[in-house]
Amino acid sequence: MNSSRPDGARQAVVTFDSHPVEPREQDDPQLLQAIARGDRGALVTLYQRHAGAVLAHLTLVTGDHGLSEEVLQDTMLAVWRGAGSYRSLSSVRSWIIAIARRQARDRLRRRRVTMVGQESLAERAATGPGPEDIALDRAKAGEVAEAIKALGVPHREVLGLVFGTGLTLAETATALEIPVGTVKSRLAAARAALARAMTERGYA
Amino acid sequence: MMAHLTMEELAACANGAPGRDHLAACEACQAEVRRWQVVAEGVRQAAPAYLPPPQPLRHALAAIDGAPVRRRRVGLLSAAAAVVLAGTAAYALGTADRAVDPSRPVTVAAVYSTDCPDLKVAAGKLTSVSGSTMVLTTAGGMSITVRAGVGTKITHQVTGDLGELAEGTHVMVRGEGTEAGDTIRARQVAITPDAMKLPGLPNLGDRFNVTRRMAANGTVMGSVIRDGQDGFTVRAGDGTEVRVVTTTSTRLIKQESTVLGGLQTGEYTVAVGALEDDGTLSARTVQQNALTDEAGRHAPALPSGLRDRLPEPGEGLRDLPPLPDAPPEGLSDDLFDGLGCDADAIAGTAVYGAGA
Repeated sequence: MNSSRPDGARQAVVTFDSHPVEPREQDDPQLLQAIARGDRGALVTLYQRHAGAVLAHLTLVTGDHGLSEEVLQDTMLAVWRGAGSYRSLSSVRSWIIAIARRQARDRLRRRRVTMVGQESLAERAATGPGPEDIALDRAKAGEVAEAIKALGVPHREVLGLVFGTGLTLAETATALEIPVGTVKSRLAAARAALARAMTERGYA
Repeated sequence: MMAHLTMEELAACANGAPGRDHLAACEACQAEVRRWQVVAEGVRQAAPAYLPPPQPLRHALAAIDGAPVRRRRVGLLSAAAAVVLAGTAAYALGTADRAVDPSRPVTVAAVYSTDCPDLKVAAGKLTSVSGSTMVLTTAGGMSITVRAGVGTKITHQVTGDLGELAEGTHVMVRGEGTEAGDTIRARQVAITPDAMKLPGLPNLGDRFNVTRRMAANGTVMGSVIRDGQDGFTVRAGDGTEVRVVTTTSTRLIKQESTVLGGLQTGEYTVAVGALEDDGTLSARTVQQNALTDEAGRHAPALPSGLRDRLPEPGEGLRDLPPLPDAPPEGLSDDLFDGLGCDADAIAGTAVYGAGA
């Protein structure tokens, strides 16, 4: 389908010397409204604002930067086509991430890559400070980063959204399409898994 | 006593927000915040924020205009910094797949398509050689079996004599450039195939000469136009001339015919040929890049100062986000465009346009 912009829609302004010229400062919902009207410049601006965070999150979750760029591309296309359906019930960033998640899930399904299903993870609450937390107290961030890459997808997702992308718990719940309570229990379970991993690495 | 910090508050504190008064007096909450801070820092290290690369947006905009949606090819690490530098242009390094078909054997996903329907490209480290077959392992860890026949042209890199250089010879020079980018003291001169596709350089006028910037960083590609006692001059694709000074330690590298058994395992190797139904590649041409120095093996980097200023081909400088610090893995998705069914040109372009 050719979904080119309507006649008269504004292009991104291009100059050589000056700083990037955005048509005018717009907040995210306004940008989506402009995109819905076929404004490509608004899509560029939205991309500049959010693509880096979305790509970082996708890369954390998929472990594949190239695939993540491709998913990001599909996501921007979906944003272009679906901008009119945005309702201000969530932040634009969490709305975009929710789209990106669906795109990634579809893509991975097509590739028949097996991911750990969210349902298969027990939403265990943390058991409170214990010997494993001592491991976390002593751990270095670089080691923790390596251990995070080895966590299951749902754990990486929730950690990435809260601490990488900086979403609130409510926004994270929207992006993950789960209740806020589940976000909390999943965060706690992710940290517990991380603490166990650090214990196994000798940080206890 | 006030209630302990909630999970929402702990997460916010770990992200740098100040806690409410209770935090200052509660050691348990302080310990919890510290632990979450360790987790948060680990996440940020595991998923560093990227400057958004231009390709996904460019491809999305193209798709909006009705172009087919780009799909990546399984990545090979592009490492010939020269080509990448030249490719401001070549910043278009992508991991696009024009030919991944999930119903085909997995090997399909490990080869690159070309303009020629009958020619695919496999590239990676040579893992093993047995009889008339060899196995390449891509940067993405996929293995491809390549079969060589009687007519397969096999070459590898050997050292030569600088005296072999003549006017018109295509070369890629690496060494140390002057700040002005008008001279390079050569560490290595590689003779590149005549048929190889040279990177197109954007002509941005006198105020921003890409060839000079490349040369200042030690790389120039082009044709030898003048020879002299202590070196020669290279004319790049945009017409800029760079003086190359050679010394007794300058190494000349060229391609020479060999047999399959003459190739070294562990070295970057390119095979071009027909993809068979069983997922193997019947090679028409095999080229091995065993002598490129370490500079060609590292992830390519743009010279400082260029990163935020280079345009995509056909685009202005400021209409897309700045370039990331390191291009993604992969050969350029247009690297083989225009080469038709010339297997040697395709292989040469892959050899000098990417490394393991």
